[in-house]
Amino acid sequence: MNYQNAGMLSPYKVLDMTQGACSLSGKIFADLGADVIKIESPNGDLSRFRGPFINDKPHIDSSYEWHYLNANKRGITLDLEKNKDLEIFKKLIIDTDFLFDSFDPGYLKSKGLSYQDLKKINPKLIMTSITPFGQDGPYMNYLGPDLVVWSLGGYMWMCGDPERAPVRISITPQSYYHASASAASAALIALYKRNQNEVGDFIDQSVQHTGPWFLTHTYQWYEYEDVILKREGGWRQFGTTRTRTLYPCKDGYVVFMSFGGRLGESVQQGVIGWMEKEGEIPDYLKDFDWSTFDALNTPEKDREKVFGAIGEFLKTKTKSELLEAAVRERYTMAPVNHLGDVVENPQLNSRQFWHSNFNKNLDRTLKYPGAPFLSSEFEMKYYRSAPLLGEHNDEIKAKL
Amino acid sequence: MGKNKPLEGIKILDFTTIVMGPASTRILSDCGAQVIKIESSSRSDTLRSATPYKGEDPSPNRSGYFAMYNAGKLSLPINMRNPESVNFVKEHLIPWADIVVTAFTPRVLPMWGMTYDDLAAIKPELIMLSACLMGNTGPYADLRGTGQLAAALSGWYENTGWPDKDPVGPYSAYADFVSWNYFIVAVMAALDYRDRTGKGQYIDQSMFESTLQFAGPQLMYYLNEGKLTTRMGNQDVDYCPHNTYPCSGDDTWCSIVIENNHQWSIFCNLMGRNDIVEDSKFNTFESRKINELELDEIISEWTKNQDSFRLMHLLQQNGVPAGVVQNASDLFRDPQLRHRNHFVVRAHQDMGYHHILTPSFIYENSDRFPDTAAPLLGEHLEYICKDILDIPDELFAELISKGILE
Repeated sequence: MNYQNAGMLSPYKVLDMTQGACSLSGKIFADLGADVIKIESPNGDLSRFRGPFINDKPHIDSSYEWHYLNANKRGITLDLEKNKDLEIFKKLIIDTDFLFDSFDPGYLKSKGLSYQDLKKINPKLIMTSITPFGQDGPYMNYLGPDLVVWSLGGYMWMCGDPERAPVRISITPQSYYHASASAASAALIALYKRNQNEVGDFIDQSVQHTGPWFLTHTYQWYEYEDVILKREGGWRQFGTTRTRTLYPCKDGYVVFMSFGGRLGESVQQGVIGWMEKEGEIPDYLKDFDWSTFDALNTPEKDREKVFGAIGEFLKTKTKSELLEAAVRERYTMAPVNHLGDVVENPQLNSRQFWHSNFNKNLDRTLKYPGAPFLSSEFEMKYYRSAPLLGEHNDEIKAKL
Repeated sequence: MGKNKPLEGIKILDFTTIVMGPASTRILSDCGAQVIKIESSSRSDTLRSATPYKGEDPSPNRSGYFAMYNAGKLSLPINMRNPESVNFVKEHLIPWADIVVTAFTPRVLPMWGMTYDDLAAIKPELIMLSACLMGNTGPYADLRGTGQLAAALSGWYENTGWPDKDPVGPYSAYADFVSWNYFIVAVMAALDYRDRTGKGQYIDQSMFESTLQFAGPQLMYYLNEGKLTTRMGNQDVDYCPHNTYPCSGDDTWCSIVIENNHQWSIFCNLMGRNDIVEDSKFNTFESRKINELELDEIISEWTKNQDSFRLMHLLQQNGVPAGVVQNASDLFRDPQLRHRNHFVVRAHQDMGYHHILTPSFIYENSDRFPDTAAPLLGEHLEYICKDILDIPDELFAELISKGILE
């Protein structure tokens, strides 16, 4: 029986003992062809209890988060409170290349399963632990659900309307997805070294620590200039100046980025050129010298004369008209899509981004989003549905 | 000292600019890869002209934004608009590189004669990743733009903010921050595949497609049920209370999440409101969710005159999840991040000493701190040509006089 997809990581065995969104780490390996076993407690993974659900009916096999994150994996249940299952786990470790977990710091050690313990069984093991704040330090035992760790990571401070509280992203839990994808990166980097020296490694992946990486130049404004940047709603702050990014259009909103300089010149000419073709250009824009106009260093009042006129024009067009024109006229604008618009997007359809797989447990076909990148050597496929709770217990334990 | 870096010996030729590519190659560089960043004085990385500058006047060598994502790299100035430069790249740099990465719009590399097929003809085991906004094929392949546009396209704006307000989106180029992980995964998996099989490969990375990976369940909900999600402020479908509450001081906030009834009763006790623990309006998740606005007012009334950090510690030490919404100043001082050495200080010729963020993962057996600050524009011209590429002096002089190297 062929358990695996042909992929870049086909030779590798992965134990994914993470909970909930952290299963993205194992998903990345599974989609690249590794043999990934998802280990759940007998109560089932957190994702099984998180919506949205198939037919909006909560059920242990109906969570879209579960199906998305755990397709292409096999699944077993282990109760780490039982010695028999601890022994099974240790046997599994013998020929495991990668282990991912998201237990509280110290839990695995209390079961005799710390990296120090496991590397005695398998010195080549690459073990990655994902925790809210890291394996040690003053906050190591603090609780870190998405909103909390997103707050302490600093990115949330920059998101939302200035007159209201900072806001998180409503597709959740983003912070854990970031940490899990980073964990997968770190583990693959460690693989290169292991291939040279035959020695594995332990990776301490913090969720909070991923946040500061999204702050672009926010730290530097504070360090060099003592300026604390903050959220600006539909504007984008560039230190002491800001530029509008969100514009209403006929059937929603678009994001339009405009700066000064070389890039700004061609961008503004693209959209103004189109306005001119449609005959809707105010006099003062007709002979405008774009080469000397610097969107970021022009006083806001003068700048709004230019972008106000562009904004009035955008109100007369639909999102799809503006997107098509942006491609044609080579200016930088994108519609504010809801996920339905995303699914209908011609670009994704033309690149065959969407996948389907018949799920025999549910007796129905499920559609999935496709690969994060395209490889000239392999095609990512959904070849195996996310497992039922303990679906592969007998099959996997029989081989030990 | 003493620990090796995981990627020692790996060579990356880096044509990427702005954030997604440079952040990826920075992490690879922190982990030991040698990264040569190609730019030129006539066409430098856009981030070199991004504020703030360390020092009085703007200078491409002192941008803090550039410094953030380019520490540890070497800078080689090549004028790619000179037709002979492509030959230089093919003759001297492609043989050197394990991995070539680019972030041009799809029309640039064919125009230069530098597609994967062109380069693989020279070095079949080459790994090449070309990232762009929409992917290198398809009807919208030519759309230009940064991760801000990709964030709007892929639903992050619609799904961030308040239901009664504009879809303001997450800060800055969110799609970059999602995509760089997949960039690293792609090149590292390809490297392992090459080392096992001897085969190189081409990777076409669409920032649009990469960033959709973090919306998988919600996309499946639409694909399979035809139902949409939208922004909901700081509320959550599984937990209540679940919000960010005002504290004493200007624009100061603490997030609080109650995950179960046990935490609810501890929380009420800390608030001095044991009277509402069993109140039928609040005693279950479902009832709290129905009365969420009223509950948020009660909590805000309690938090609004408190010090945000003292409140967080009080709640956390009693087993209630809470976190201050930290700004740049708070993050500098954060004791947990400091414990993880989230900054290292490096010296820079023009900028002096400054802080550089470290990767969010820590290896037990390997080092992953950036060795140096970001390069000056063209700083390593001679070093790269003479010490890395072994270019003879006469040829070096010719490359300069022809304007290939600047």
